[in-house]
Amino acid sequence: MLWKFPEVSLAPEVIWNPGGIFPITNTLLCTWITILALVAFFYFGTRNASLIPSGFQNFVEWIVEFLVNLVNGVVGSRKDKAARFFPWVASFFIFILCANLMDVLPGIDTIGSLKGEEIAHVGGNCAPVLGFLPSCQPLSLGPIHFLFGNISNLIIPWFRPPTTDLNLTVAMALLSVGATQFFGFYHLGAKEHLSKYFNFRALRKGPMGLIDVVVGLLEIISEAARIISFSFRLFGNIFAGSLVLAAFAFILPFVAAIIFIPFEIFVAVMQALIFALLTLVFMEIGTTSHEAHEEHLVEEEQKVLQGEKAAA
Amino acid sequence: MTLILAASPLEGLGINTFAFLSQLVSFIIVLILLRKWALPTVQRMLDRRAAIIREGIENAERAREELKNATARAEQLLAEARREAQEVIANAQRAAEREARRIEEEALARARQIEQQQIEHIRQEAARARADLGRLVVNLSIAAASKVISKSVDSSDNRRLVEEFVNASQATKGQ
Repeated sequence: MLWKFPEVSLAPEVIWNPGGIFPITNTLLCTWITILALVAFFYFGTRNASLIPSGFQNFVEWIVEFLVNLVNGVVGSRKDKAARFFPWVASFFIFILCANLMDVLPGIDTIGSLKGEEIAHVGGNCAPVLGFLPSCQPLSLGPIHFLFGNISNLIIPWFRPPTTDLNLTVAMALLSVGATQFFGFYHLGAKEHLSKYFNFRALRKGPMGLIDVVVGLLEIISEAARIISFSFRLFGNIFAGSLVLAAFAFILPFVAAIIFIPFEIFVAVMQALIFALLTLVFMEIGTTSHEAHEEHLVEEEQKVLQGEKAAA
Repeated sequence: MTLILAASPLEGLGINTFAFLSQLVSFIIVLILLRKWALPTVQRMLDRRAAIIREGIENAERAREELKNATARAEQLLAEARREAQEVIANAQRAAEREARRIEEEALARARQIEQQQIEHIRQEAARARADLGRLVVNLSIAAASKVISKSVDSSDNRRLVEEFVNASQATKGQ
């Protein structure tokens, strides 16, 4: 066997633990690399910015303008809301996109430190590869080793896409839902916002009001479920993409990458967009009062009735 | 293919407090960086450009409006100038016609005056010619009579007689 399928680990691996108190995982390292990449991205994109943009400045402004238009398109005429939501939506999109795109970079999941004990254990099952390369010994070039055969997957990767770590996706989901709640309280006031979940006033309408109370309580579950859906959707897609790349690199080396790397770039963009767009939509819904929503529905009904009358 | 899973579900998923907090803090740093520095920098540039473009469009709109007004004013001035020119031409034509008539009338008057003068002159010439002719007739008559009577006649007496005769003839003829 030329190489083995890589080991699949849901948990990120600790690559360095300075002092035994600060375990740095490969995903955390890549999160920091992503932060540095973003700083470089914006630094070079805004350095020597001219009124007539060109090259990289144009690209950076295109992304920011796209996000501004996205937020304005959803929020509408409420400029104050758009200004508050925009940094969150833009941060989620840009950071997640940058983190997801790490998946297709060479060296991700493939450069790392050797699992010494396991290599020693596998050593007994040596088999020749292509007739001359021993599969149980790394091909050593000084401090650099190339792994083949049975030991090819015995590696702790130093670099792993940050969004394949549930710690990050859950943290972002919590921030998204937390910010949505904050904006709900800020724009509607505590009483109005809490009445969405504890709608006991509906009981005045009679027994049918009980349904509204239950729906309100279900909203709490829905909010909690958002954290899970946000975090697992992003994690699942990028982790699966990472596995697909690894699997096809194992099944059909070099050739499969031509098909799957563009596909993974598409998934990376879509997942970043979905996370940012859902955050934006939930923020917009969370800051719209029941009365305004009902008034809007009444207006819509009246419009429909007027249309029917006109047609008649 | 080996799937590594741990005993506890959360541990199996790789979720632990320290990693979670590390990632949370890291993302909050991203949020602060983008919110305080990166996004405002780009947005300022976008807003500045939008303001300049808006100003440019407004200026162009204003310039177009001014051009439209100027064109209308120029057309109005042109129409006025054309009208004034027409008036000037008409006045000039009228003046020219008046002048022509005056010149014509003067010319006619002068012509009539010259004509009268010429007629008078002709009349005088005719009178003189007639007088000369009368004298010539007298002379010829005397000469003829002398030959007829073969006798010299006193010239001065006869001349006076003939002249009286001729004058009387002319007077009779004139009546």
